[in-house]
Amino acid sequence: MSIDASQLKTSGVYASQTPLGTLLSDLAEIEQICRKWRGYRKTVGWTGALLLLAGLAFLIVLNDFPALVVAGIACLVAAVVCIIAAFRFARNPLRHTDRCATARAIAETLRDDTHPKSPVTVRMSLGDQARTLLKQQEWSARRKGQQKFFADEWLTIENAFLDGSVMTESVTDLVRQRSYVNARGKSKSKTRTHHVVAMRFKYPEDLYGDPGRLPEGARQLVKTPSTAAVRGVEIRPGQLKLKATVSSSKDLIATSKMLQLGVYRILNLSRKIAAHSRAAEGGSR
Amino acid sequence: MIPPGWKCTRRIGFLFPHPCDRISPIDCPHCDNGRIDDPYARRLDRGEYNDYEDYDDSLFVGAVGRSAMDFTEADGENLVRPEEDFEDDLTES
Repeated sequence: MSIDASQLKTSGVYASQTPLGTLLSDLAEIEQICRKWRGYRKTVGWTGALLLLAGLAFLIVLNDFPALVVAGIACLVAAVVCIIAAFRFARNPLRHTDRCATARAIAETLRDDTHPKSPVTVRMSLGDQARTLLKQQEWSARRKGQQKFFADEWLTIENAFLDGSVMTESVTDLVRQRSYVNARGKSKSKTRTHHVVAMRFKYPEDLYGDPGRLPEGARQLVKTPSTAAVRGVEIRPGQLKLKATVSSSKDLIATSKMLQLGVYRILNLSRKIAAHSRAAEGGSR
Repeated sequence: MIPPGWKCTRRIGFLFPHPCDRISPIDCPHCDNGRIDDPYARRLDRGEYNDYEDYDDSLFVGAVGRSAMDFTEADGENLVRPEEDFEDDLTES
């Protein structure tokens, strides 16, 4: 599948249901398109900056010549146009280009346990369209302090594994935006982003038995990087859910991978015990 | 020389073991031309899960003969359900 660049530029959203190989090449293509756009935006921005300098030079240094004054004004107008164009060009998809690399790395981990023709469903947002305001309140620690909290679920992946399990993974950014006025009277704003990785596995009970009957210590089999923490593991018959928060973006990929491995450590253990129980039942007959 | 009808008996996989469906170990990315006996267990890219297949004894409540519960090649084969084969043409409904 080839990417519709103009649609991506407008919406900033990629959605597909395609085999893993195609998905990975699509994501690589999006990264390439974004690199091109970034390069174009940089060129237009620099052109604007140079035109601005030229315009100012014409107006300040060479203002004795009326023709150059006109040229200077023309340069300034062109500079403003270039700078605005560079600012607005592909704004949505270029806001979070790192998301594409993250999605690709997460999808890569599915490769060895997924049938090459099995369709993987993905929705990825590179912009802030999915951002929703959770809460807005005063921040009393600073003068005219305000804080807003947003949630932005920017990635969902659904995949059927070779063992018959179906995984749904989502990555949500939790954004805290604080604004205040400092002692010098300047307006300041600070943004902090945490991530929430949520996974749901629907597993075949005949293969994996009931992981809910495992000792409580089985939940500790899920490991995370140091900047992440497991917030909950919920095991029901046929379904296992878990959620983790990640405070450092650089650990997002590792967290996703470790959570998947952790879930399967639980399931593999449960399967061993279920297989053993079946064998014991068979032997006692 | 690979005999006709040869079937790989090795376990592969990242998250869980399943059988290898290659028809030859030559240039196999999993067993490195047949040099790795158990590619699933020998994987080194699981990060902090360097003990991926080892479980604490306390987790085997009510189970006996722990060694009997280790995955076997047959287990790997059972994990892949033959009825869940995928159609070649994905455009078909």
